[in-house]
Amino acid sequence: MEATSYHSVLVLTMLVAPLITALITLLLRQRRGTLWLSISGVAVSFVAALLLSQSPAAGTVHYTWLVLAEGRQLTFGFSLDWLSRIIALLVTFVSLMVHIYSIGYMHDDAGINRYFGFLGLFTFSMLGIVLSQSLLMIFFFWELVGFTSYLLIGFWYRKPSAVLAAKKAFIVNRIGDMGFLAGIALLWGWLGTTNLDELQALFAVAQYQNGYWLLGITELSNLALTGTALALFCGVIGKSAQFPLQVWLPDAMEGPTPVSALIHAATMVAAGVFLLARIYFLFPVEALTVVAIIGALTAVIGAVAALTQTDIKKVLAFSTISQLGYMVLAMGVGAWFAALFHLITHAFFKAALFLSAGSVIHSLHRWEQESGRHIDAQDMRWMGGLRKRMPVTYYSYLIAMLSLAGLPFFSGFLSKDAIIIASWSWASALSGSGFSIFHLLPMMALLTAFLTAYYMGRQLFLVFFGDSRLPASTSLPTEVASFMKWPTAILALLSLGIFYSVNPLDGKSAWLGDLLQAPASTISSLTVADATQLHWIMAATTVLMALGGLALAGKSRHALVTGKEWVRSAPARWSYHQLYFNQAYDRIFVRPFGKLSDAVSRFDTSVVDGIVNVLGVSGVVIAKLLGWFDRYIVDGLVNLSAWISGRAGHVTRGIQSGNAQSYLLWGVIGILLMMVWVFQFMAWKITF
Amino acid sequence: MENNLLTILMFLPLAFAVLVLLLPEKWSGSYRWLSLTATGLQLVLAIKLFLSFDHVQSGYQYWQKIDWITLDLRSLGMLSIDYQVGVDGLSLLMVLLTAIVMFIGAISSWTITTMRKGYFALYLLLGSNIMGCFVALDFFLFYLFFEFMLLPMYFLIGLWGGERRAYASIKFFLYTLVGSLLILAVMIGLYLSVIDPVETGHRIGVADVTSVQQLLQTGQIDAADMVRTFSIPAMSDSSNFIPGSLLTALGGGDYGSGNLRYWAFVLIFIGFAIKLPIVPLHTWLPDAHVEAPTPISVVLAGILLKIGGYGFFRFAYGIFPEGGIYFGYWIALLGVLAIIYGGLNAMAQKDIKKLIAYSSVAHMGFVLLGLASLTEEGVLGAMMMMFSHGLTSAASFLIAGVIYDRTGDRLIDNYSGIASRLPYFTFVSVVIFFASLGLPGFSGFVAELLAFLGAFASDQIIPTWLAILSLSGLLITAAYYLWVIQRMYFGEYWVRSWHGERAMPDLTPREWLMFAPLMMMILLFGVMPHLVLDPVNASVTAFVNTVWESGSQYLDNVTGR
Repeated sequence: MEATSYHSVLVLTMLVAPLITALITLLLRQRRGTLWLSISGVAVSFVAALLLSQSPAAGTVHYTWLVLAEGRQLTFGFSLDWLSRIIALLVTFVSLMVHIYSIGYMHDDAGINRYFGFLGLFTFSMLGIVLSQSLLMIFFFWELVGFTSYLLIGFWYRKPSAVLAAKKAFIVNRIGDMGFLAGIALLWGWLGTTNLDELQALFAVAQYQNGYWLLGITELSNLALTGTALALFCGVIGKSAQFPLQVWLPDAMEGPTPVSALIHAATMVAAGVFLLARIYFLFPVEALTVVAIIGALTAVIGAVAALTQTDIKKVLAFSTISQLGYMVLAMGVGAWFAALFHLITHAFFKAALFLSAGSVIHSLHRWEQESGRHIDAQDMRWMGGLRKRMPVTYYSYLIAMLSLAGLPFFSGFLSKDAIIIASWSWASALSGSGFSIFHLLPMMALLTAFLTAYYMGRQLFLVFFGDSRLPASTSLPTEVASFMKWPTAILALLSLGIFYSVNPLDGKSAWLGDLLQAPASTISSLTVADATQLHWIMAATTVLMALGGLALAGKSRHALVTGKEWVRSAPARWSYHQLYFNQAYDRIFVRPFGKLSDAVSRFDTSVVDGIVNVLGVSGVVIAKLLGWFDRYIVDGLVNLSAWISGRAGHVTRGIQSGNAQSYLLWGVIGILLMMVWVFQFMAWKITF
Repeated sequence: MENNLLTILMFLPLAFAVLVLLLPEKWSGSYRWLSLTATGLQLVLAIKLFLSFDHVQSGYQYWQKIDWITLDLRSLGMLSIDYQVGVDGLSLLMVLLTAIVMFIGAISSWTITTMRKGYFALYLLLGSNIMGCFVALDFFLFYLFFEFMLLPMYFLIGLWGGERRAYASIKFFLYTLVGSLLILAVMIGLYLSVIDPVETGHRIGVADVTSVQQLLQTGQIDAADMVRTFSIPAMSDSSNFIPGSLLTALGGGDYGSGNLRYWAFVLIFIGFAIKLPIVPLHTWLPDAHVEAPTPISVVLAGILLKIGGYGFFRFAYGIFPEGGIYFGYWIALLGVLAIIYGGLNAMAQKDIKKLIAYSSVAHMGFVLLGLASLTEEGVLGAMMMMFSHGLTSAASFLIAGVIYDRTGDRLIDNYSGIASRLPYFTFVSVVIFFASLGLPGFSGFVAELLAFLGAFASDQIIPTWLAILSLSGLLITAAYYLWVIQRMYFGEYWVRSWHGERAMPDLTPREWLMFAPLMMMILLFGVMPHLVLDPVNASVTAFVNTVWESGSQYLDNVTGR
C-alpha cells in the first residue's frame, strides 16, 4: 500500500529535522544558543512521530536508490507499519528526554555543541533504521548509528580509555556487520531484492518440497536459509551486544551518561532486536533455536557479570546486556511480541536508571568541586545514603529499578513474565511431555530474573541506603537541577505497569499486542501451545525469584556496606572480570591478529619486495658482466683488429708513394688477387 | 568544439606546458597559475562532457577518427594507425576523475618552490598523457600515451621526491616498463591479427562492413589488401580477426590459437596488474608514494592506478572476453588476496603515507573482485571503486601532506591528540578516513556494497566462500583507520619531531579549497550514486552482456565444442 503524501511529509520531517539541526549545531561552533535549536529538532521529530502514530492508515513510501539492469533496483523506502511507528515514537521520545537532561548534564562542557550535534546525528540514524523498508537501507543507517555511537563514546577524546572504547565498539560491531552484509548479499544473490515487503511476500507463501523451500521462482535448501538467517543474526549479535560479541558495551560506558541512557540502553542496542523483529519471517526453526540459545546465554552472562561491579554505570551496562538477552531469547522461542514489548518497557526503565545514575554522578562531581576532595564519582563504594539527599532521583530510580527487577504492577514484570512463559511453553512444545534439555533455557531465564533482582537491590542499597561513605566534608551532595530531574522522573513513571496493560498482572492483555503482530511466514512458524494454564504458576515463580533476589540483597546489605563483599572469592573475580572474555579475546584474536599483520608486512618487505630487489640487483650484476665482456672481449677484439690494421698500415705505408701510377698498379694487383680468390672459391664450390 | 572536445581536453594541458617552457624563468611565479588555469579549463570541459553524455547509448560518444599513419607493406597488407578517440561509459568517469584530480593536484602543487619550470611543464605533460590514455581508442595511440606517462612521472618523483627518491623512481619506472613490454607484445599480436573492415572495404571496393567481414572469414580477401589496424573497436569484434591468425577468436587455427589468446589475456592482465597494482606486483607503490611529493602522490593514487583498472575493462576483458570467464575465479581470488594482504600490511605500517598506499592496494582488490564477478552490480561496483577511491585516496594523501608540511615527519607514532590543536583538520580527516573505510553515506560504501553484491550474485565465477572471505575487508579496513585516528588525533596533544616544536596551524584556505570539493563529492556520490552510475549503466550492461556472450562463444570455439 502506498502511503499518502501526508505520511510522506511526516516521515521525512521526523527523519530530517534532527539531521538538519544537528548539522547547523555542528557548523555554528561555540555558540551555545544552538543547543536549543537541536532540542527543537528532536521535538519536531517527536511531534511528527506522534502525529504519525495517530493516523490510522499504514503504508510504505518508496524511493529508488540505484537502478540496475533488467528492472532490478536497490530501493530505499519508509515502512509505516505499527512496528515502525511505535518504535519511532519511542526513539524520538527518549531522545527528547535525553536532550533535555543533557542541558543540565553537559552544561559546563566546552564541547557542548559537538555533543548536541552528535546526539542529533544519532537520532537521525536511529530513526533511519526504524523507518527502513529495505534491508539495504537498514544496513546503511545501521552503520551510521555505529559511527555516531563511535563519536559519542569517544566524545571526551583526550581520554585514552574513551577513545579505545569507541574504537572497540566500532570494530566489534563491524564483526557482526560482516555477517549482516553477507546475509543481505546472499538474499540479493538468490532473490534479487533486499526490499522487506517483497521478501516477506515471498516468504509468506513459501512451499516446502523435498528439502527445499520454493520462494517465487527460486528454490533454496533449508540449510541455505538457515545460514542466511544466521548471517543476518550476526548483525544483531554485534549491535545488541549478544554473546560472544557483548564485550564492547561495558566499555562504551566511557561516553557521557546521557549517551549511555539513549544509545547504550534504550535505542541503539535495541536496534538489533528491532532488526530481528523485522527479519523474523526469514528464520527457519533451526535458526530460531540458535537465536534462543544465544539469547539465554547472554542473559545469564550479563547478569552474572553485573553481580559484583563497583562502577554504578557498569552494573547497568551488564544489566542491559542481560535484558537484551531476554529479548533475543523471546524472539528465538517465537514470542515475537513479548520481545518487542520488553524492548519498549526496557527502553523506559533502563533510560530512567541511567539518567538517575547520571544525576548521582553529576551530583558527586559537583560535591567534589565544592568540597575539594577527590573521589571516583562512579564508584558505588563512595556513595550511600543518597535517598534523603536526592529524593526525586531516588524515587525515579526506585520505580525503574523495581520494574527491572520484575515486580508486579511495574512494566518490567509484564514483559519479562511474558518472555519466561513463552520460553517455557516453547521448551514444553519441543520436548513433548516431560522435561528435556530445552527446558534449560527457561531455567536460565528464571535464574537471570533472580540475579537481576539481586544486583539491582544491591545497587539500590549501595547508592541510596545506609550512611554516606563520602570523605568527611562540610558540603553534602545535593539534588540535581530540574532539567535533569524531571526527564528522569517522566521516564520512570512510564515504567508503571498501568500504562501498558489494564490487568497489571497479565502481559497478554497489553494493548500494544493488538498493534504489533508478527509478519506472516511459513518458514519461521513455531507452533507453541497456549500457556494459559501455565501462566499463574510461571508468574508466581517469576515474582518469587524477584523477591528472593531483592531479599538476598537486602539481607547482605550490611556486608556490602562494610566492604566485606569486595574480599574477592574466585567466583566473584570471574564475575567482576566479566568471565575474562576480554582477556581471552585479546589473547586469541587481538594479539595474534597484530602479529599476523606484522608477519605479513615482514613477508612483504623481505620476500615479495626482496624478490624484486634481487631481480633488480641481478639485472645490474648481469649488466656489469655484460659491460665487462663488452669492454674487454668485444671491444678488445675491435681494438685488436684496429691494432692489427694499424700495424698492417704501418707495414704497407711504404706502398703509398703518392704517385697515381703506382696506385693504379697496386689497384690492378689487388683486383687480380681478388679474382684469383673468387675463382678459387668458385672452383672449390664446384668441386664439392 | 563538439567534435573536437576530447582532443581539446587532451591537448589543453600540453599547450600550457609549452607555454610554461616558453615563459622566462623570472616569471616563474606564473607557472602555477598557468597549471591551475589549464587544469581548471580541463575540468570545466570534462564536466561539460559528463553532463552532455548520452545515458541511453552504450557506444562511443564524441568519437573522432583521423588517419594518422598509413603504410603500404605490399604483401603484408596495409598498416593503419589512426588518431581515434571517444568515450563510453567505461571511460567517462575516468575522464571526469582525471580532470578533478589534476585540478586538485594543481592546487596542491602551490607549495612547490624548486625548479618550478620543469615541475609544472612535466605536471601538465602528465595531465595530457593520462587524459590521452582514457580517451584513446587506438591501441597504438594509447600505448604512446601510456609510455609517455612514465617519463614525467619518473622525473617528478626522481627530482622533487623525498630522500630515497632515486630508488623509488627507478623502481617505479622499471616495474611499469616491464608491464608495458607485456602489453606491447600483445599489441603486436593483435596488429597481426586484426583488420579494419572499413578501410579494407575501401580497398577492395565493398562498402558494407558485414560483407567485408564475411569475405575475410571465408578467405576471399588477399593478404595484400588487408588493412591492419590498431583500432580497439575493431579488435573487440571477433569478425575482424583474420582466420588462422595468431589471436583469432574463431578457432580452427593451425597452432592452437585459442591458447595464444589465453596467453595474450594473461600478458595484458599482468601488464595492467602492475599498474593497478595487484599483489604480488605492488611493491613499487609504497616506495613511490612515500618518496613522491604530495601532489604527485595524489595524482598517482587518484588516477594513475586507475589506468590499470581501466585497462582490464577496455583491453583484457574488452578484447579477450573469454579470458575473463576462463580466469574469472583466479582474478577474484587475486582480488580477495589484495583486500586481505593489503589490509594486513596497512595495519603494520608506521608511516602514514605507507599506510594509505597499502590501503590503496586493498581497495583495488575490490575493483578486481567486482570486475571478476561479471555481474552488472559487481562491474558497477568496480567502476565506482575506481572513481570513489580516486577521490578518497587523493584526499588521504592530502591529509598526509598537511601533516608533513607542518612537521616534516610522517611517522604515526610521533603524533598524538592532533584533535585538540587542529579541530577542523581532524574533522576532515575523520570524514575522509571513514569514507575510505566504507561508511554508508560516502561513495566508498556504494563501491564496496556493489562489489560485494556482485561477488555474492556471481555463483558461476565466484564461489560463496570467496565472497564471504572478501567481507573481512570491512573489518581490517576499519581496524587500521581507527587505529590511526586513535593514535594520531585523539588523546593528549603532543608532537615528537626532530624539528622541535613547530607551529601547528589548522587548515589554511588553500587546503580547504582542496578538501572541501573532494568531501562534497564523496558525500554527494555516496548519497546519490545514480549521479555517476546512471550515465555509465548502459555501457556496463552492454559490457557484461558482451563479455558473457562473446566470451562463451569464443570459449566454445577454442575448445571446439
